[in-house]
Amino acid sequence: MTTAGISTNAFKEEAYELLTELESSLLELEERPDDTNLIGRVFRAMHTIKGSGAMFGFDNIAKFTHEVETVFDIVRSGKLTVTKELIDLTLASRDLIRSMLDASDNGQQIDETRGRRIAASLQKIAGNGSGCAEEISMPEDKNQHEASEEEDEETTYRIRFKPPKDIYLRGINPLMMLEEIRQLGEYRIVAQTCDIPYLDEFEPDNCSVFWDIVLTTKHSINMIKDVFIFVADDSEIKIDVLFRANNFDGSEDCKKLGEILTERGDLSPEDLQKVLGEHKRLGEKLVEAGLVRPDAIQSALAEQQHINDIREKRQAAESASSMRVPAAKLDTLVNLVGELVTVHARLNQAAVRIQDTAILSVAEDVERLMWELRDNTMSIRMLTIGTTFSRFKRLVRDLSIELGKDIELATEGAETELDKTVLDQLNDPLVHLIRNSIDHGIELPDVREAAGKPRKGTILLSAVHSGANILIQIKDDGAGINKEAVRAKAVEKGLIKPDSDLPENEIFSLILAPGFSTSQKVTSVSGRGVGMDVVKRGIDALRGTIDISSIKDEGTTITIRLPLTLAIIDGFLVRVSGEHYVIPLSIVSECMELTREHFVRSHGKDMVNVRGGIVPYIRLRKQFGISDTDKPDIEHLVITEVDGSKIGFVSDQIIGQHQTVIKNLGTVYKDVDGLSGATILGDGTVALILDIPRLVSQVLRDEASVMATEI
Amino acid sequence: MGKTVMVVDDSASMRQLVSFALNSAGYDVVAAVHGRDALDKMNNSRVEMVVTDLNMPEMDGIELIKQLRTRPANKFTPIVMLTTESQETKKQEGKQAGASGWLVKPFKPDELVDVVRKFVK
Amino acid sequence: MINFQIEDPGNVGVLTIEGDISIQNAEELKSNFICALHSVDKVFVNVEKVSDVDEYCLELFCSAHRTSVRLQKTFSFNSCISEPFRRVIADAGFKRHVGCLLDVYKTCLWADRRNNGCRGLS
Repeated sequence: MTTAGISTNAFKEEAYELLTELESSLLELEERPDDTNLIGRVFRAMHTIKGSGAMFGFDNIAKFTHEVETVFDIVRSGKLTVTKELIDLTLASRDLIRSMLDASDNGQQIDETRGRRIAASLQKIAGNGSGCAEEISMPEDKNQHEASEEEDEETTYRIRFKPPKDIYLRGINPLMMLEEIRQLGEYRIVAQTCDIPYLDEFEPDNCSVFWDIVLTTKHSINMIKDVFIFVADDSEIKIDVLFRANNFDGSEDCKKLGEILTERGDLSPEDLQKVLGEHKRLGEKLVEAGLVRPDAIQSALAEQQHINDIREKRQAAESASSMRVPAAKLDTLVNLVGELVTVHARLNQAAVRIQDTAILSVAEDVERLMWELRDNTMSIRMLTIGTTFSRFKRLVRDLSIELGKDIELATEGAETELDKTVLDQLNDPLVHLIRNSIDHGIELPDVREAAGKPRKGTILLSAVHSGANILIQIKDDGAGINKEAVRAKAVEKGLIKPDSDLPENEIFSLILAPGFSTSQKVTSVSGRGVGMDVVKRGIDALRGTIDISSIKDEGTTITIRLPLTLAIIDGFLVRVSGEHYVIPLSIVSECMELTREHFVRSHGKDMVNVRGGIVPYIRLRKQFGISDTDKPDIEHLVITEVDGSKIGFVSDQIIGQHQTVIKNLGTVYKDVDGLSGATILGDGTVALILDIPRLVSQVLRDEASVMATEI
Repeated sequence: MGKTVMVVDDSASMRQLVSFALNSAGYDVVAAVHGRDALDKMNNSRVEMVVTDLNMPEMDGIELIKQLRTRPANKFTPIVMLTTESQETKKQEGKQAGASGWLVKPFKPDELVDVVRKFVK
Repeated sequence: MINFQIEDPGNVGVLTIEGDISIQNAEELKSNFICALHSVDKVFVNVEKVSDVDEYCLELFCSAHRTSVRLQKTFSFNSCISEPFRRVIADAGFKRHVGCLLDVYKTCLWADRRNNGCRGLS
């Protein structure tokens, strides 16, 4: 396409104008043959008609005009004088161009012999004039090689690009060129900075850097050359093929550093031999011996790395993109990482105690590796929630048929990942919630229609990441929860007092209470009394929370918030007597000292006034039956916030943040209320992990009963 | 907001064609009819790049490049010359003057855009 | 915007660089580098608010660092490297494991550094 969107009329109009002007210029020129201004004008007119003509697809005009332009270029340079013969010929040319323009409108044929005759005469004059008229060829079709630009074969190139020093003064930004290279494929770029001078020798606007690039691309070498096209003559550009995909036989894969350096000419083979005798890493040796610049080493290492990456990728692609591993192995891996975290804590403690900087620095290195290992391990255990989602499609289909309802299950965020353990334990609560939506939520088609809703109900199941949590929503467009019915039922079951004034979300939360079921009749699906408390317990076990919101006649949304992973959490370590306890850090809101005075002021109740608000607290001593004999005068209160309510925990000492690897308590401890697990500390002792939600609900229950007895 | 490219060409049809191609690629275009016009217009608009023809009345492309390079504001501005001369001499002369690149007429609009993209995003 | 402030005469100075720095305003950058290295022994450069930088300026930074080594002075970043700056360091291929031959005190501006919070490049 030459003229996308612009009609050739733009060119024709201009050409007609130029031809008119040309005619008068030629007539003037006949009178003043030495007027360089006029000669220039004639030349430019021809030049423009030729250039634009070619652009707009008037190839015949461009080709013919070229002949005239050539002659006038010679006249312009003073090698040829304007003669009457030339004026005549040029006027004839002008008329011919005009008729060519006309012809393009009405499609008539042009007498080609006329053109050829004029051209021949012009060439003769030009030949007489200079004797060495430059052969100016019409630019040939540049598109010829474009067809082969995209090669299927992936090739790895080694490129060394040393731009001209004045590259900036030519308005060229080397970063833009590197950007173009980057777009061609996989790359590694290392700037060679050895030539950068000191500030006092720094020449303004000069570029003193050159680049080593390793590029793996499917594009042809011409595409790489095109990047440097405008600096090719003034730059040092070396492009070598390192290897091609289809003869990548693995022999290239283990190229030694020394080989790369000698291939690049950064190191002579003799020097390499000399240095190889010593027992040290080659790179260090070469730099120490002053044989190679560190930049060159960096660059060679980058190449080595690049090739290794490409090889690994290829091998990975050849075998399979993933592999199956028994889940138990992953569990073991997580356990081992957990052990490592514990051992590291010990190492750290020992290092701090000994105050040995060498050991401390090793401990820091170990720590860095450990976190990488932990993150990596956790990421291996991540699974997409999609498989679980798709299982529910069938469930919804079967159940809705059974109940005579028309329900569609839509899902969002199926690609969201979460820990395998979480996913496994999430299945049952989700099944229950979806069943609930189908049974209690979505109405029968006729009922829906009567209410002005589409006959088909929708349940939307979505998952999304939110910080360190994952949010799972079950949203239906059903009847919504009848607030009054829930309330009445709760009163009937003795869960709340008839006159208690609860906010909406708390009323909805009542359906999660044990033994609560509002369904009028028992179906095979729900309403058997094993209500939503099963769900609540399941989510609690995952350290998650449930939030219910509902609008009458519009539907219900249940939001489950879960931590991404279970195995290792950030904990907050406290001590009571000789025992250590861990509180999940995510729920700790503040700490304060607790003195006898507080106790007196609150009339001996386990409550404290924090900035005007009353915060009840639990004495861990009391809770776990530790005697008060060694109780310190000043205790420490850790205030936690769960679901908007604040509860404090009293300990002897606050130790601080602790990476907590969660271990399950044995069956012996199964009935101990208020503990969710245990972890092993750096010194090998066990710390118990507090089950805060359980403890909180226990406190709230106690509080209610206390209030009841007081009344 | 697109980057602004100045197009300098004495041919109205060429200006139109180049402007159209660059506009379609998301660039803003300021047009000038010759070198002097370009220098004047340069004073009151922020131009990120210049695409200039070589043969023009008043002030030709080579002189324009030389002039621009003496101005602090345009010392490093990318300048591409449009040329029908495929000879080395013109190209060399332009490069000496400080041209960043060149494009030989006739070219396809896409080719122009590709070249401009080498210098401004 | 480039601003040089002496904190402890003859000893410590802080060079704060903000906004776009490129070859266009590099002369100012260079003279500030020279001035800073002449006035104090320890030059700390704050590049937290650099919104864009070009390859040319990276060369200037390199040069200033080299000069500081020759003068047995300190020239280092005392701030986080802004995201755009960091990107250009990577894109221009300046990022590296170890400094150049001149970097005898191992203080290369572009070298990997561990355990120093946001100052490192990796």
